[in-house]
Amino acid sequence: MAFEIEVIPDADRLFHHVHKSMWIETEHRPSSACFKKRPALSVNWLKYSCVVHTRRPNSHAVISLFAGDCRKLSQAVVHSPLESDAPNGPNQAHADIKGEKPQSTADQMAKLALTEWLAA
Amino acid sequence: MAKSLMRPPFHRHGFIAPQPERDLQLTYQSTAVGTSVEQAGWGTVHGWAPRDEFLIAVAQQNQPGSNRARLLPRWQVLSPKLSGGLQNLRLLPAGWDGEDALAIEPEAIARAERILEKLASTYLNFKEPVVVPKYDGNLQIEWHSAERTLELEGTSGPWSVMGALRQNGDSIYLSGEMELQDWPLAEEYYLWWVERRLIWPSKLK
Repeated sequence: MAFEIEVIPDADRLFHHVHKSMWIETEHRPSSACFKKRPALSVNWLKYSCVVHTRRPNSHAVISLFAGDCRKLSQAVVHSPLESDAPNGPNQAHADIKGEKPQSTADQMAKLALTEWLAA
Repeated sequence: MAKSLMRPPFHRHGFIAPQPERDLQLTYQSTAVGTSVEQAGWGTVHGWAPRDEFLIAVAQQNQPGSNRARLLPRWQVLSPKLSGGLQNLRLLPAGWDGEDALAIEPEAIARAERILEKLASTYLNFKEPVVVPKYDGNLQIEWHSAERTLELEGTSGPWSVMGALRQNGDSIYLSGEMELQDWPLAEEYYLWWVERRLIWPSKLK
């Protein structure tokens, strides 16, 4: 059964895992490089996900961004659930942050990121 | 005065006592195994010995006969933390992000390493950056301070450069590009970040 595609409200958070090599200890945040994924940055929508669900064995942190903040940076936030036959599926929470991410945009996203979980 | 010259205790041809930057003129000099000589100007040291194993600095004081030189293994130029970080990048396998990230190109790491070694050996108080991988197999070099950020982002073409100035809670973004082997421009960007150059180096050389 296919998941319904929904509209993600601006006020909802989107989770993303951060690999250890992309965490800037001195700044207590991810590098802007963490957001420079093409063609889209994969995230998990809070409505169907949580920090534990987003965390991976090699995660150093889980951060979140508000959908509205991403849209203010000219990004499209699109619900794109993964069906069971997709890689890493099924995942109803899956969403994409789409759009060009020049360094200034990626830097702003890095600064807007909220740390939800950090490895001890 | 170059940072590397301050470090104990590896030296083959003599010892250079720490002195104010302007007291020494530093140049490259060929070694017994033969490298070319390059003028490096006041207070700077750069260039590489044969086989890329050693950084050679020759300090030439104004007084005749006072030349001193020192040979540093490359691994001494960067801190263990930064060297270890670069080594970790070499070990990242394809898919390191849990998805489809590429392994980091060895050439990108080697170029970054070389320019960082040059900066580290040129500036006594060199501030080491953070080097992070990119999903596309390239990498990014970042310096952060309370008021300024400098990012050198590896791409398939010229490296993309971003500077950010934070004032009263707002950020002003500046952009540029450079070839990573373009030492003078890389140096200018670094000096902008440490606030010894107040104007953004916008000219692509």
